[in-house]
Amino acid sequence: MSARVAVATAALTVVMLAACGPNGRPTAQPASVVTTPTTAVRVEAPAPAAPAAAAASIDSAIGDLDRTLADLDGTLAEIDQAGSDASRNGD
Amino acid sequence: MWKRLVAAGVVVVVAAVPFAAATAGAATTSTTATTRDLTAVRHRCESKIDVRLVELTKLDGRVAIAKNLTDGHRQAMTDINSHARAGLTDLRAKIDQDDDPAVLKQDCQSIVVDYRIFALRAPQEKLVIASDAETSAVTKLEALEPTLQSAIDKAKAQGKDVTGAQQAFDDLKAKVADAAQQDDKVSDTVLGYTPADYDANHDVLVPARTAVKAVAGDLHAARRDAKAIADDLRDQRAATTTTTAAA
Repeated sequence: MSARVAVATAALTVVMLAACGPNGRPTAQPASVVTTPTTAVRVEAPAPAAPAAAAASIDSAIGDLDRTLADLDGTLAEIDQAGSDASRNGD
Repeated sequence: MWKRLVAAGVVVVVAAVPFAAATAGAATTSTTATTRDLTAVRHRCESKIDVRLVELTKLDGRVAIAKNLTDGHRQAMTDINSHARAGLTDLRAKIDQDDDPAVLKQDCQSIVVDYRIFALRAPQEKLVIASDAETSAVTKLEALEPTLQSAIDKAKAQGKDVTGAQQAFDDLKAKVADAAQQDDKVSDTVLGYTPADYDANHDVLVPARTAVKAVAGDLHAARRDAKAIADDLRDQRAATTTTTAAA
């Protein structure tokens, strides 16, 4: 074993021993893993879902109701028109 | 003396001949005029029938596409229109053969008073279509009521101010109840009216028309209430989010 190889082996051993904890497992993270900064971030409490869902459900029902009321309004206009139709046709 | 009498007779005869001829001419003219009048009256009557047959076809189409009609009401109106169409078609054939002015006049009056297509049938059927649509809307709103109350209760349990939503809901319930009460049996009542009912009382449809319009007002008000409740719940949510973010 040359002197260079001996030095390199010793250096590697030192590095590996430095990376191990008392139980022999590595304590250092691999260089490729990025640790998320532990800066305090306030997470907003989520808004209550129930009222929002209920509002959407009500909106849907109103949409259905609107179609019926639109039909109704059209028919009411026809009823108003019926009087003049009767007069025009001698009824 | 004889000569005078003969001369006088000749004068009378000569004078009478043009008069008789004129009288005969007048009778011929009168007959021609009567025939021409009958033809004109007949055409007017047939035209009246034709516009009513067109109206019946329109009513059939309207009944067919009405979305909220009950099966029973749809069938009843289809039968009424079919019966009227058959009667008017038969009457048209009869009028085409009417030579007696009195009979023709009576048949022409029958087009109007025995069928009342424009004065009764058209508004009658549209009132039934409207009333059935209102019944459908009442059902939808009644089905929505538990959802609305539940949403308000949940918002209240979360400490939200639901004063406005609850007021809107109370109003909605009152409007829906009033609509249901006024709409009750309008269609069946209206469908029971015949041309004879209309001839006896030209205002026979007025109560139904008034009720249908009042119910429509209630339904639109209830719809506004439902929308206000939904908006209020959404506003509560937005206020909650804003408050949390600002904390």
